[in-house]
Amino acid sequence: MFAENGKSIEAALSRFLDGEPNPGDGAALAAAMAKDERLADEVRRLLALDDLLRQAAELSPTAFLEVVQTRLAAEADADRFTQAVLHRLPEAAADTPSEASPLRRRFRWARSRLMLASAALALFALGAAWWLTARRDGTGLSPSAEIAWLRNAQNCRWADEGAPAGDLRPGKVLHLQQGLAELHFRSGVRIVLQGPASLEFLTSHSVRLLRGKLAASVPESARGFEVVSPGGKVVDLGTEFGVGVEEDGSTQVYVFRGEVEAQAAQGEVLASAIVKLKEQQSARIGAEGVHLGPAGLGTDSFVREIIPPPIVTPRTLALDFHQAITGTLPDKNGQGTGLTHRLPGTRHDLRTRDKNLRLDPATGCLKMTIHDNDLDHQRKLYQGEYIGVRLADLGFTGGEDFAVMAVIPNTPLLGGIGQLGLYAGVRSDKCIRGGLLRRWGSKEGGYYHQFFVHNNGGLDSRLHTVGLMSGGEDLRLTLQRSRGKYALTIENLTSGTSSTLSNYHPDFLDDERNLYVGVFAAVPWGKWPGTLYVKEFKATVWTLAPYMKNGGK
Amino acid sequence: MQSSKIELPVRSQEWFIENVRKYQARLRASIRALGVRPEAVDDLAQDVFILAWQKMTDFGTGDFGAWLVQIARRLIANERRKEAGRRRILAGEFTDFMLRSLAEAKEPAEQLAQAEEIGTLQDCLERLPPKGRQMIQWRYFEQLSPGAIASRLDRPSNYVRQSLLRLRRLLLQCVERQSLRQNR
Repeated sequence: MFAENGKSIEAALSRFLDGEPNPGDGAALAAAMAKDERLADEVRRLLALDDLLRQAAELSPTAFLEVVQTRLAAEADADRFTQAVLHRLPEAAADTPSEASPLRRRFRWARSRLMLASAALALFALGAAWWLTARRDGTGLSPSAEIAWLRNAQNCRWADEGAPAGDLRPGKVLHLQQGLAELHFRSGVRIVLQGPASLEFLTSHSVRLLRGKLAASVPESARGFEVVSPGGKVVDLGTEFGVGVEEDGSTQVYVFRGEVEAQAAQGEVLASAIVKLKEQQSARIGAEGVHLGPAGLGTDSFVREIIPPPIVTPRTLALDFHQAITGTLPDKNGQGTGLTHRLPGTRHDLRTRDKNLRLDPATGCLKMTIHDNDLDHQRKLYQGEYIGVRLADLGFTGGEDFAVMAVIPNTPLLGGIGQLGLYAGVRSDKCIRGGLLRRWGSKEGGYYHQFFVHNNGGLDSRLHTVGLMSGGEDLRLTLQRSRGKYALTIENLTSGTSSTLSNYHPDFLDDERNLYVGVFAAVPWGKWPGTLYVKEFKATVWTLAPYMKNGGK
Repeated sequence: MQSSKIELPVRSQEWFIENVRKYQARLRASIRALGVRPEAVDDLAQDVFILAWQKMTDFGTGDFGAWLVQIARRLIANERRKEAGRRRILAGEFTDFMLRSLAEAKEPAEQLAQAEEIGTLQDCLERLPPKGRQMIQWRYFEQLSPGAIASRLDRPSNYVRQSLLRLRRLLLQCVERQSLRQNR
């Protein structure tokens, strides 16, 4: 029976001996031992041996005795017992390793390396000094083996000789002047280094942070990963944590997840008690020791993951009107103008030849005849020319930025309250538009104002006008949504001046996925039709590539 | 007013402290063999010494070390029944079995603790192959977990646990063989 389950019992026993049994290991061992007396006997002896080894490794052979004496002193008649204990203590304290039990005395083979550091230091400090000075050769790896790799970098600038070049081996020091660098260790540890920072590689399970900040994510298999700093060291106990080293060498540690041990150092010697830090705790490690700080303090200052900037790809429809494009809005002669849609709510025919449009490929121009109509009050829109494109055809899904641009040469002075420009919207009664507007009956009747207006529900609102501009000039108009905000820019190509108008944010368009943009002109209440020429037209959607984790793999 | 506590002569206190020194290693190893968590062993051993001190009048003559182990067994059996005590025990079923069976079995730590006194454990450690000795050093002297050792070696944790188990067996065989030879 035992032979059949031999492997699983062996595994359970090994976990049990290391104090890390799985649920059920204890019961399985008990059952196996009940059937096999020899196994039971061996398990008892192995456990006893385990503790004897633990005792042998104690740095102070009198530590246990002293604790018992202290507790006894508290339990017994304090004065009398303390006298007796104190009477014994000098003898106990004199129990130096040379006078200790044979095992401890002869265990010097294990501690002999400690003596290299400093013969004058206490045993506790000696242990730490050995850790700090002699650990570089403890990797078990070839000295030439790389122990880490640069996995991801963002805006990095490296100092001379401080850049990673396939040489991340023990002893290598990285000097990151700015930016973020993500390093992956052979052991599975992941570090994000924030410049300016200097980091020395000690082993595949330890680094020395000389200055700057890092965030370390340590998988269970690499438990015990250590970050040494001028102020001390931080030992992972299965966690994610941040370490920052100031110019004066003082060290801050923050635990994002799990727990760590922190210990202060003086020079090369660890000189304070070990302090355990749990999730969301912070501490300062300095010459005076380890001091816990307020929970969560400073955690925001650590970058725990490099998030690549979004990959933005512009998708553009650009028309110069030098050729007819089949399948698009036809002009009076049936030539495809290149534009594909109208603002819904205005004249609806997309396939019928439009007698108001005439493409002139020879001059690269689209001529538009304009009649009386107005989006304000939705008047006579059946004869309105609001031609353009549907943004969804350029990859728009609702959140992207976009722009529409048109070049209008020799701007006509339209009759009535003539207006021309660009629009963006869902339909005729849910849109914005802007450009030039002639104010009927005003003193400046021979001039245009620059305007920008909302129309949500059929009536114009939030009309915003600036400046004066005469007709006959060449203009480039651009209506753009950038980071969700709309702006209309009018460049006067004749004078070389430009102005940009903004308006209240048209939040009624925010969540709309089916937007149309284009060029328009109208002569509301005008008795005579006007003519507008369009030289160039361009619509662009800046599409976002989906965020790709794991460096795009 | 006279105290109800039995006043022990100063000599007895000195005698007790001397016996703490003498038997603490054996007691701690015996407690561990009952399935107590490694980190809770010393705490329990201290409790045993305090109890022993309080009940010194119950101890007549005989093996003081064995008496301490008996106290430890009773203490652990009591704690096994309490929720708080279970935190110091790795697995209840395991400890229950050990408490039942240890009555008949020879106390495991007695011989091993003697081994410490005569230095055989040290001899056996020195006989381990260098890699094995390094692993023992990491596990016990640097108190690295098997996971941390695995990280140093770039090997799985299971490999380290199995290696440690094998090394402990080697040490155990060596110590017992040496002790037997020296007792002849």
